[in-house]
Amino acid sequence: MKIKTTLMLLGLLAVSPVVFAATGIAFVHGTGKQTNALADYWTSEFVNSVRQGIPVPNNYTVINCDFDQYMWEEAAAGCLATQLNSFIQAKNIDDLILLTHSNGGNVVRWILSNPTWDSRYPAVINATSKVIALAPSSGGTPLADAVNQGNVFETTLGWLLGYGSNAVKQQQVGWMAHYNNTWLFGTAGRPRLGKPFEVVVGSDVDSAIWDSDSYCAGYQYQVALETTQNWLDSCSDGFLNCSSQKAAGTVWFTDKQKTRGQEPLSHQQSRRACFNLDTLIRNHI
Amino acid sequence: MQPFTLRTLSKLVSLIILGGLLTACQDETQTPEPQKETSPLYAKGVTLAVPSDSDIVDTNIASPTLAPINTNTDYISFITPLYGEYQASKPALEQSSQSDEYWLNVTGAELNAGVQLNLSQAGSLVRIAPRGDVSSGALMHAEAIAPERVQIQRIGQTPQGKNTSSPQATESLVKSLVSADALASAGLADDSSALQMSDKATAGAYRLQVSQPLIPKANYLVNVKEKGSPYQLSIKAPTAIAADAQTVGVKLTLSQSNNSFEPKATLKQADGTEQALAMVKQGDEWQALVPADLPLASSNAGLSEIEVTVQTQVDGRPVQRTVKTAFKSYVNSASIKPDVLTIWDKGVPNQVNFELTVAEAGRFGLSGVLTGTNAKGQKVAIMRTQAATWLTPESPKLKLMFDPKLIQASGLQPPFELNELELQDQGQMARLSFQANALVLTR
Repeated sequence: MKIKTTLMLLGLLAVSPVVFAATGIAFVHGTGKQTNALADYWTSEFVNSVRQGIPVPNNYTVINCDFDQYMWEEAAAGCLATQLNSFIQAKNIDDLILLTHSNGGNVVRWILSNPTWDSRYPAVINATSKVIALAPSSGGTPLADAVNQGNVFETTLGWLLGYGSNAVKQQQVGWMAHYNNTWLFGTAGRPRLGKPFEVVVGSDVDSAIWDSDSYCAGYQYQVALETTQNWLDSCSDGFLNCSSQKAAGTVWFTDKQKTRGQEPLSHQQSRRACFNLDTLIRNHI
Repeated sequence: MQPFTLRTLSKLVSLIILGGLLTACQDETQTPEPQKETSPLYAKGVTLAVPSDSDIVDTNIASPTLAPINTNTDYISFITPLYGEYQASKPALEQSSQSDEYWLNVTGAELNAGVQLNLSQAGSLVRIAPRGDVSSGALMHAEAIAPERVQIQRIGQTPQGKNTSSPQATESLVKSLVSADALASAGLADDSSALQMSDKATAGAYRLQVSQPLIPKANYLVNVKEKGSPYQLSIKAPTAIAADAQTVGVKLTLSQSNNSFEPKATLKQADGTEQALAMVKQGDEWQALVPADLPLASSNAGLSEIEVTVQTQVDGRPVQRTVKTAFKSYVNSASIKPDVLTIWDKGVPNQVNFELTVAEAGRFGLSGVLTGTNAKGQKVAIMRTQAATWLTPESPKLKLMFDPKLIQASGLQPPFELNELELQDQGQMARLSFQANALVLTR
């Protein structure tokens, strides 16, 4: 009897990684080909602040993939799945929080919606506990339509000219409507995502020259984002309409409801430590 | 030989335990042979329900001509638990979009000479975007235009009613200028610059002229955006169109007008190729005519678009609009045979085995929602089941798995039903069929 008990305990110890499985957080960037997303996309200030919200702050990873591609491609979702699986295995993560910004939310939603597309996807879905999507481009943006408009040559050679990427094509309003209706879950009238998809909505752009809040994440971006609001609704973060950001999942909050000083979050600011956004996320996870 | 340590022993025990678990898992995924009804495992052949009018079902199949984009051969099965009263979801077969803008393709020579712009309201935004050209055999990217080198003048008269071409008059019509760098920092990274028109630039015809010397053959896009304009051009069209379609029906509506216009249509494919389409009106719908030798798509990646431009007069104002709709061009490459085999284990459904008719080898996926019945007789969702694998015409079987533990834990009773049965061709990224209420699972 004693031997049997010892063997059982030893067996449990042998599979102890399951016992010590843990919470982890992954920072998933938006459109663009990233090689150092920590420095170039998120900033250390933001990442180091947010990750303090999990029991072991070192259980974090910053994703670097080519999100200039269509969301389903190997360089995009394939790369994301590989990096997440490596992180899950290395840290024995069974409670994975995905923090996404902009088009990163679409790539994550692709994986969550299409587990049978690729054998790497199920392990990511099983480990994921929730997604916090900062300003996700779930419904696309008219700015993507504007950039893609033109003649055959610039779209064919978009990669050479440095614009008109497939990821931007994909985020055209009509294209996202198609993908939401056919391949993605979580929008109205479609199957729910199997995991919570909590959205933070940016609703406006402030660029008053006398207001120090307009300088968070770079004043020049704020001025430009006010111009691009010409293509957008009155409720927008300068790149995305609020309706696009709210199109999938559930709204956790719209900026002014929780931010310091009820400041809006422009599309540039919703991935930075502006107006307590980092603290809000840290306390939420 | 290594000494026998506690660590070695623990590894040995864990291997035995894991081996047992793996064996158990593998047993669960095997398709049992049909046995007697008294056995815990029981197989029963059933027939799918007759499709309703709103289902998507086509039993005529054909071979795709474009290269597949997913060639994985793995069988992957995935189950997502669902809870609560069943909420049916049906795919939308049409989509609509609206436009309060238009765009023109012009050359550098035309911009230097001046092009006409029709503005229907004050405060419009005019964007000029350089575009590429390879007609000479090498890529030529038109240079960006400095917004301060752009002049916009009202044709015929100024807002004050005076003839003018003076810089002062031009200046008064422009509220602000935005450079290419500024737009790029906000996501419009295509070297374009923009002018926000002032409130004095009311509805009418204007001349846009660039004083900066431009390469005569260089290509530019002029985009006029009239935010909030009451003149919205709407289009409604199918979300998926058979690759061999000869006509595409679209509904066009220009608000605030009697819709007396002649639309110009263009087919635009994901790789950028374009083709003009003739438009014919039939009743309240327009038919875009597709030339017989024109494929609707050049690749399975991305979507095709139909872009429509309308130019008309509304209440004496020139109104121009461009609108587009995106769609998936697909070949119906497979269909589900109606006779299926259900496998039961200890009184609950374990899996449904489907046989497909497949035109050509490819990766196909099936999905569906299993529901049970509660004490009030209501349909309650238990799980979504998805599976995909590589199928060939000779080996066209695909099974959808259920999780018996989820069924038992739900406490739900028969009838169990398989809803939202969807067949996808993952190589084409196309939905081939959808049946809202596919199967009642009776033991």
